[in-house]
Amino acid sequence: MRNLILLLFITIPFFAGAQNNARLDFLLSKLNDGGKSNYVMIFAHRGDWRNAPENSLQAFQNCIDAGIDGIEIDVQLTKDSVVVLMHDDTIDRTTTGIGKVSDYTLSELKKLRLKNPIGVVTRHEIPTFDEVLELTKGKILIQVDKWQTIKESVVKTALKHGMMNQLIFRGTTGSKHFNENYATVLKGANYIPVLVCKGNNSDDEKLNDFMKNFKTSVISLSFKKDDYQVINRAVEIKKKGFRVWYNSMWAEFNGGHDDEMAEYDLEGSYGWLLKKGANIIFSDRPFLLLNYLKVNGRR
Amino acid sequence: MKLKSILKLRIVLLIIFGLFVSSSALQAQNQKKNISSVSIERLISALHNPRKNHILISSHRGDWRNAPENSLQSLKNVVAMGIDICELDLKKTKDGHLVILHDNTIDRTMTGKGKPSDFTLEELKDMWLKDGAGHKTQHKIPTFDEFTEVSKGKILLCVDKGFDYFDEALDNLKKKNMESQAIINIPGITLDSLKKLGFRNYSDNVMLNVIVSPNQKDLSKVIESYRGRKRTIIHPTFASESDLVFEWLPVIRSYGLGLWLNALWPDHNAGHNDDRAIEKNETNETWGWLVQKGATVIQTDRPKNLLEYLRKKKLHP
Repeated sequence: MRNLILLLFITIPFFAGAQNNARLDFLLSKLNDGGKSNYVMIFAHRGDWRNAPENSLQAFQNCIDAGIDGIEIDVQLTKDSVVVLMHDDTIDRTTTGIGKVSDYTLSELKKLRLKNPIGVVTRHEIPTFDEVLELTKGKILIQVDKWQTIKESVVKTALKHGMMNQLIFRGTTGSKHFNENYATVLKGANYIPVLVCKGNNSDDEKLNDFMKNFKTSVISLSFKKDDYQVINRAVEIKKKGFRVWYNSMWAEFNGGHDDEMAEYDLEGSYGWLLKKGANIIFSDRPFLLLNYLKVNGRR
Repeated sequence: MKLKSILKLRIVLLIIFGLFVSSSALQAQNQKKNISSVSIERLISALHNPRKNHILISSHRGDWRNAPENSLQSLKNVVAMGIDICELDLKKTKDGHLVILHDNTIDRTMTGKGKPSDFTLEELKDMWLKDGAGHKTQHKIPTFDEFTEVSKGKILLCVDKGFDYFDEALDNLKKKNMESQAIINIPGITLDSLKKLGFRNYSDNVMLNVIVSPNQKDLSKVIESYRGRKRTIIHPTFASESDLVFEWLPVIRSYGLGLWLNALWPDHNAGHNDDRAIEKNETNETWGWLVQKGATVIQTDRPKNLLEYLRKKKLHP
């Protein structure tokens, strides 16, 4: 009997770990399946900022709990070179402090508190990238924004947690510049090239470069107008084995078929994005989108 | 029984059955849509005569999580949720229009900078409201008139920061026959002092929500002055249970006055707040505690969740 109990104590952590691995395996398999599964992935912009302060651990926990596939975070360096989460150039809007992140050490920033969407102080603190990785290990994909100038620090922290494969970096650069500047340092992570469409031939050239010269399983399109020709190549992108990532936040990324439109016209926004080939959607209304996808059999 | 009587009886029974079926169907449909099956008349009645099975919910600045705070959309969202009261904040433009805005400046919530009184209504309408992540939306600042238009017959309104515009706000409500649909927030002054201010639109029928501070010196005088005034709610805030006003909670109720408690943030309710309810999953220890303290109105930043909680406890239709 005693041996049995001992055995259980030893093996239970493995099961728990296995559960986490199962979730990550699922997410990565979807990310890499070129959209063949019909499953549409959701990335939540700054986490669940409607129900918790943006870029807070709570905002990310809410997404994990709801089964969202990925969160997007914004990173910056403190005065003492710690990677923390902050979107704006200053901390004024979202915290009880003022000034730049780089004006303060981590311990000074930790004395502050995050504000909620109506500017009211909460109990939440600015998280470090380290804390975010601890919270999310094995549970949700993480798209890191504002990474370019601090990539070494970001990667160092990720490697410490063994979590490079859980990270997503997006960038607009072509393959030559990418290979020269980013390919090595981002090895092991998921890189997604982004085509900011201009509505002319350069779109096609860039897209060809992305599909031919990047080691990626996803290509992202961003378009101010919804009638750019290159958007029609989404079918081809999928045929060539890539998932197609569109942003539903902000009209300037999706020609107006955005989260705001979804307030009153789901078919015109999310429906349109799906019709135009999206199978990863980056959204400010992840739960509304989740519901829509479930109802339409895309989860 | 004669044939004619049997026929009459059958017709009557059929009509009664038909009414029952259609009202159940309507109830079912309403429950599905989450719309309160409570008419505006019943809402007003619950406001005037607090009852245990209908604690009123006030949504602070509307549904600011899913639409810009104090926007028409945030109002429409809480109407659709079946919330009883939408709270709003009043300001005035350069050319004298009452608009809905919380801060003393427009900087945080609009794509502009300055005081609302720096701009005409037209200039403000040229700007956009921002969402909770600080990004521009397609929504515009509403006028009080537009707000009352959307609310008429649908939801009660709590007018905050409107004491400076007492008469004007009531003019608008009176014009639309909506006086009984509104609650006006006033500072913690005695009824006598209020009457001495000589508001043209003051009447004993206006629903007042008297905001008293945790330790204000003339607390007793202020609360006693409203004893016997029917259309009155007292609105105390307290950071801790040792604040003076805390021991007045049961007294307020015993005087037949309404009791408005904020679940908004910890120094309003000695730590029994919305975020604790949701993030720590302690609804009984927070909202339940406010109910226990005798709240007849609870103001919240989590209207959908609070409604679900109160319905579960049979404290809301």
